[in-house]
Amino acid sequence: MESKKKILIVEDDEFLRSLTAKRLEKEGYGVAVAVDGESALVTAMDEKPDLILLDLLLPGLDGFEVLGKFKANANLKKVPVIVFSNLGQKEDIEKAKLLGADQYLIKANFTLDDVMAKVSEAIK
Amino acid sequence: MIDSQSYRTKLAANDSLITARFFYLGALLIMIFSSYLLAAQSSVLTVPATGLYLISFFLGLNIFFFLSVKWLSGKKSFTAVNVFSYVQIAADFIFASLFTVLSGLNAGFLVFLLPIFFAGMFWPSYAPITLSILFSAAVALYSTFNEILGTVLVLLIPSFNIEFNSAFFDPSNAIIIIIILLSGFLSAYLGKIAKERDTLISVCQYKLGGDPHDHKREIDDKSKRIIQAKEFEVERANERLSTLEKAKADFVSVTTHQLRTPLAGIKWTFEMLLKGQVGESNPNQREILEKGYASTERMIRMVNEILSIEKIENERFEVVFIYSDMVKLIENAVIEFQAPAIGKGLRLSFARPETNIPLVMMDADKVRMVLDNLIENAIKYTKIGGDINISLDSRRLNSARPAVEVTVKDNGIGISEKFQDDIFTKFYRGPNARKAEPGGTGLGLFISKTIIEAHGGTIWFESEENTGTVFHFSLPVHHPERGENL
Repeated sequence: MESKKKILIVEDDEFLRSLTAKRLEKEGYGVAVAVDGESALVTAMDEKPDLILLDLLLPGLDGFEVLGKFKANANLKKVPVIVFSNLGQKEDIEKAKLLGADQYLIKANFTLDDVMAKVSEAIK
Repeated sequence: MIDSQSYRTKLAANDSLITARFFYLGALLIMIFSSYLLAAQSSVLTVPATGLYLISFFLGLNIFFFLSVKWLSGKKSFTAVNVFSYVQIAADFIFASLFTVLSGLNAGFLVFLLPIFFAGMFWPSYAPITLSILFSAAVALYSTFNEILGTVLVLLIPSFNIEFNSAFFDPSNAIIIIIILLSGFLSAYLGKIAKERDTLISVCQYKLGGDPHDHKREIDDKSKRIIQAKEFEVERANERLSTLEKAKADFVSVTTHQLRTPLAGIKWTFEMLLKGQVGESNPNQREILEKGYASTERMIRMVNEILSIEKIENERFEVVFIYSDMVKLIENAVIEFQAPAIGKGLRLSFARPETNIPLVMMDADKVRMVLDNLIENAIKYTKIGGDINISLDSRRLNSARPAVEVTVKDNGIGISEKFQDDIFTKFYRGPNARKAEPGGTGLGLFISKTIIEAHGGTIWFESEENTGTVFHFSLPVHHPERGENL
């Protein structure tokens, strides 16, 4: 039985995805990745993460839709979702919160340390 | 627009019909006279004397129509013109029927063609076609029609005397029927061309603003049309402007968001390197890494500020006015900035006012942005060991327009008189500021000024180079009158 928590990263930018994954692994988390909306859903169902880091600007199914689907799914709706995006408009933030996001972070404004702090807070 | 045009067309068409009637009635009269004079026997146009009465009556009627149309054009009533058109065409058909009865079908049917043609001018295409079909049917039942009409006329006019064509269906009528039907279609076609021409003229008028067929009557109509044409232009220009603005806003939005992604990546890269998470670095490397990190942070700040400004300029910067506690706002800001201030050896303090300060109607988040900007600047541009004092002045509370005044005073590098005028402009940074703090964007005070002015307040400063700067801003306590549109 794995005692370490698993985090699903949904992010289409390869560089950011690998940086985040490396950092999460360093912190002792298990990591799963998805590069777009559709595979995010599939991977989430398979991997059953303890937390999801979700980018909103995704190719194909857009981030908001994916968020909606996570929260509509009986197995996934309890999983905390941190929206991890570079969209920063108030409407976007409100929309994400309404759809059930636990936190909204603008990637460019946060250091990875900050992100780790938010993750550990939310995953409890 | 088009209504006015077709009103004019109908009026003009009515006019033309009346004139035409004078001509054809006149022509008929001449033919009748000439046939009598020449005593031609096999003339197609042998018309009994009663015919003369008929024609004279209709000539009189036409003069009445002529005067009516003059009166109508003054009335400018669309319904009246419509009714008048119906009356005229009805009159023509009655005349044509009576004339046919009098003179026999071969002459009469020619007269029928005239109202059919005019129907095409007044009404949509189905009108002349329908009428021509109806009249073809009537011709087919000519003798029946003739007898009924004849009986009616005999009752009305004692001296009436006509000959009946007793054939129920005369084959020669077939040719007449064909001609009537063809004229119906011809009239419909000509009418359609006339209407298309009218539309084209309308469109030309919008573009040229003039009237190539100005009858010098409806001057009001013309200026109305010019105004409408201008309105139309303005609407189109407005639409285009909105589209462009939206396109620009979208472009800025998308670009800045796209920029943020690689910037986040770079920032985190520097972070990892500086924290030794990918191996230790020597002091030289650290120095360069720190510069790179600072540069990245600066770029990110600029992207964020450009987004703010873009929102301001596109009026998407919503200012939400709520009565808020100014004292608390300042206190919170001061608490948050204690750490960086102490880090630079500066004393940051807030002199809490002794009198009671009322709640101020403002957008607390936005005013907090202004406070942050002013305090940040004070910290940036004051040397180690300096003082930053914030105060809240209630002197203006007893004036006609009660307002509070916030002051942020430092004893830093100051702003030289030469450069003071440009301080609030976008991207402007004083040269000594640039030296002291290369990482600034020059956008903070621009944004602050916009926010304060959106509240109906004012922002200003006094400064002396190397002595210090005092920034003030005032906010009206109650609902602001916007001095400047965002």
